[in-house]
Amino acid sequence: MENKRSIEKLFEEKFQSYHPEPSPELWPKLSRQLKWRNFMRPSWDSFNIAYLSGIIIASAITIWVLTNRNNESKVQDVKNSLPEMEDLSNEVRNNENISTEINPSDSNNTSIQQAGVNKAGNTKNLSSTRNEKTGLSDKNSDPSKTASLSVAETRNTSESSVQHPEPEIRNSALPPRAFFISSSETGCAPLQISFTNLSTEADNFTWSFGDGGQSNELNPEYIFDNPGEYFVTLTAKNENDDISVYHTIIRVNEVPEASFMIEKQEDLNQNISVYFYNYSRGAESYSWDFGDGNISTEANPTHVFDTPGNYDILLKVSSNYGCIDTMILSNALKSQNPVIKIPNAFSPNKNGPNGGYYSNGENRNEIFHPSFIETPVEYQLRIFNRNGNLLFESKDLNIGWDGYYMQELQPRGVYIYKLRVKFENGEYLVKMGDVTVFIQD
Amino acid sequence: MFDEQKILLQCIKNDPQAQRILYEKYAPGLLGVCMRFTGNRPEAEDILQEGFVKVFLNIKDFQGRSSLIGWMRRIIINTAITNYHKNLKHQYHVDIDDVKEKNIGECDLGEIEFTQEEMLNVIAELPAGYKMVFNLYAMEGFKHKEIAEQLKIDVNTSKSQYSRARKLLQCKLEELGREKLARNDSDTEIEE
Repeated sequence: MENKRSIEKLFEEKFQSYHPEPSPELWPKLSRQLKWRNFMRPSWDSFNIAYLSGIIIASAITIWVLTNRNNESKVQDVKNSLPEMEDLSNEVRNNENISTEINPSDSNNTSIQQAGVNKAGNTKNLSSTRNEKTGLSDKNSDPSKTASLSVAETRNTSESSVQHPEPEIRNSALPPRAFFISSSETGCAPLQISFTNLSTEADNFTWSFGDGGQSNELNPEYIFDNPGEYFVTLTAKNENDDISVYHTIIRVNEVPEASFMIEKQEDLNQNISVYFYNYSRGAESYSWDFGDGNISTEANPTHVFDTPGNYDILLKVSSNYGCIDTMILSNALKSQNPVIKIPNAFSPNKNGPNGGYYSNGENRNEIFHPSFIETPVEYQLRIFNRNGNLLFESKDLNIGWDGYYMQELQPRGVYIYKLRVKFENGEYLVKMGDVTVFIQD
Repeated sequence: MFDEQKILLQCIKNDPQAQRILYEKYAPGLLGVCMRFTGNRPEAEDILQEGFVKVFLNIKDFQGRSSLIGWMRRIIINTAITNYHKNLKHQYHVDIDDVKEKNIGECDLGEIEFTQEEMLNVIAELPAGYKMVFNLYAMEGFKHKEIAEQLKIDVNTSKSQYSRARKLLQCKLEELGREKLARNDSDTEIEE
């Protein structure tokens, strides 16, 4: 307790008057942050320029979207209309429209240049400067150029009575634009994907599926066999050999592999305990159906079957990407025709141990041994007396128990055997039971 | 002359000069608190900055039920707690030495004097959770129940972390003390 007080006390004493000087640059930082936070604070007391400008930008975007839609509908029927003299405010408005209209097509300058004569220069003027508005209108007004540069009429929604020209670029060979969608972007191997080509202004397509596969179809269907990430590229080409490329990534997930083995153990009440050894790969979760109405989600479950029968045991494994695999073991516990027959009594030779040699198919009453219909690849027979002492063990299929332990004949009575065998199909079988030693007087 | 009432009113009006005066007055003491919580200066100053911003933004809600410094201190501590939660995700990896419980027995502090710096270093070496629990319980007078709520841990975790933090602090100080003694001895030998 002495100690307990002292450490808290020590800290209290030391830090009560601990007043380190903050670094000098802390205040400016703090002050800046404070100003910013005050500024950003949503409050009607301090309704400020940030919110005002936010609202202005939002409404500007809305208006722009609306007018743009108007323009598109009018472009088709209104052509060759000459520009008119406009007042200053309209000019400003118009300038904005030009720059916004042209900028998206900026990236297509190359194709326009190829096709156009002096239109390319025109386009550049349009997109690069706002101030050359006057010169621009002059060029636009030249009817010879309206074949490629059509002038659209726009109605300014806010000032509905005023009309002003709106240039729109038209080209006989528009640049292609590659685009496609896929039926899905991820899935389990083998993954079949159908691609839908949504490219515009192109008539020649090359698909590359990222795993070496290629196609020239319009809407190909492709199967990705192996797991991985694939870069699917569509190259769209128009008649002028202008190209556009679009790509997407397809992710193919590995499919897990379900695999298991069982080991059966029959007890004296005919209950069969089955141990499941799970050798599945790439799986995250397991679901077992033991075929007798019971299920489990353990990796290595143990299940007791009340009665022997022909059960179909099903293991379904799934990966964390949701890919699944199943394995079914049919007639897993067939008991109708037992593969092993074990006698329940025998009578040892009273004259001395005989080594227990026998051959399969031979039924000698002096030796206790199981007989097999199918020869196991592994074999272990053990005999215990009623105290649980191991009296005999054999791993040789041709050696059974002769009733002796340490060269001594064991007294008559009941003994316990435990037999463990493995068959060629990998199936383990464990059987326990009792055998009566019967010694004739 | 520092007139707290007047400064407070000016601060409510967002007067930068008054804010500066309030800061100059209380920042050192509150930085000391932050240092105890973190054990290192950069992090402590971050907390101080964030805390003071909160103070100034919310000073109009200060109702005078406690002292101004008490209210500010509480805000700073809350900021430290927030900071702790924010940093938690970066602190998955705790040094194995911090986790190993060496010296389970009590350590004796002895009569050696330690400097504030030495003690801060000892705090800095504590795992993040221990730092919080120790400071809140031993220095700020929180109850384990409050700590558990604030740090989103179990009450028993708070208790056991506190006792482990104490032991760790004691043992680290003891070790430090022994080193200091040894150093002093060798110094005197050299002088002789």
